[in-house]
Amino acid sequence: MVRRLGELESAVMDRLWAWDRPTSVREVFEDLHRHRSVAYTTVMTVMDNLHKKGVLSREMSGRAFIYRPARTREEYVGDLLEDALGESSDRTAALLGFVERLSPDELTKLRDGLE
Amino acid sequence: MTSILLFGYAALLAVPVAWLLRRATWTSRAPALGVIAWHVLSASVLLAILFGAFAAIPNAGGDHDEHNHLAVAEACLVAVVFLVVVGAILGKALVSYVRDDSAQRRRHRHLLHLVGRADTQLDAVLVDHASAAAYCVPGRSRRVVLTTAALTVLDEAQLAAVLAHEQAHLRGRHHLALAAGRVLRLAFPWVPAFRWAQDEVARLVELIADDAAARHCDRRDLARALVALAADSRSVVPATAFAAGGPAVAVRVKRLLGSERPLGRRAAAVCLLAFLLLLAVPMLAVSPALAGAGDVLSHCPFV
Repeated sequence: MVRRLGELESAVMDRLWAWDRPTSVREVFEDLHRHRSVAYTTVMTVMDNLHKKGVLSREMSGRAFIYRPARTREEYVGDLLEDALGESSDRTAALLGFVERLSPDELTKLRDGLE
Repeated sequence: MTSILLFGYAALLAVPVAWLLRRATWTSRAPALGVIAWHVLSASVLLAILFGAFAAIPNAGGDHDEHNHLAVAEACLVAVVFLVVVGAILGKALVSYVRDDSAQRRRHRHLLHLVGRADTQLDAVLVDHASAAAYCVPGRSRRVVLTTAALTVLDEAQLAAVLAHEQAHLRGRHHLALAAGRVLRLAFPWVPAFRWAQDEVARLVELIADDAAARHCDRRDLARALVALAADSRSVVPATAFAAGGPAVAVRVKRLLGSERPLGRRAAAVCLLAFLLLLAVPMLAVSPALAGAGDVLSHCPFV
């Protein structure tokens, strides 16, 4: 169930980022419903959770909330990669990178060695 | 007396022996053995200090006059306080590590959920980004993460090598090897052996993963993949972060292309024996003292 909610979160976010306009739960639900069986209340819960996590901001419009992403997708990807590859001092072993950064000089040398 | 010897032994391991191990070249030829060596060394330092404190508890012997009794009580108190302090520092480091580690993993998983998409064919999570990167998230929901740029930068053989490298990290549970060193370093950052152990283990697990990948793929493909990703990941973070681990990649590439042979079986056996001796010495030194201390502890008013 947790996994499914996680999947739904990204499905919801994909739509909001792609549409790039304030969106109601109903609109997201209707689009999602075309691709999978999902309950309106589930979508509402997911979007409410995303709001609580600070990923979505919302405001009242008439009798319903309309939502929009708090930040762009690119900003989140930036955070993600900074988390994974940045030089933060309080890094734990939560992630294992493949390579670290290299100076241009060293790169040239290495490339020469590979040719 | 035993206690002074044990403290001396801990100091010997923590500085000169650790320095020699850091300089040793055989660890690159047998990285798994190298990781074991660092862990045994760290454990030995810790055990020697703990046992040293135990051994400081004097043996009361048969002499039970008032003055002697007081001296024993004082020594008991000092030793017990020392052990409690060391234990508390270690415990605090462990707790803060576990908390930070799980928080970081949770945050990362959350971000991945939002922006990543699973690729079942590659058995990896893809993230849209213009700079090439590959890494893995260990733990319960372990996964390999690739940026879309990594897919364009790497050819098929190189991609297979990168995936094999990351899978080796996950299969080998390398994060646990790193965690042990990290906790000790958090607890006692001023002990050179613990500082070096963490850096060395981080370096050696990369070599282990490289070797594991090289068993399934061509070494040159892996080397090319390393260079391709190191070249491209420059754009991810600001230039101030440059070259921190740069030489490590250079060494890995040279190692993959070079003719370095893995350590022979006999040399490996000798190394293993040497480590076991490292651990055995404090144990042997302390066993009579421990027996004595146990005897006294039963009389000690503070325990």
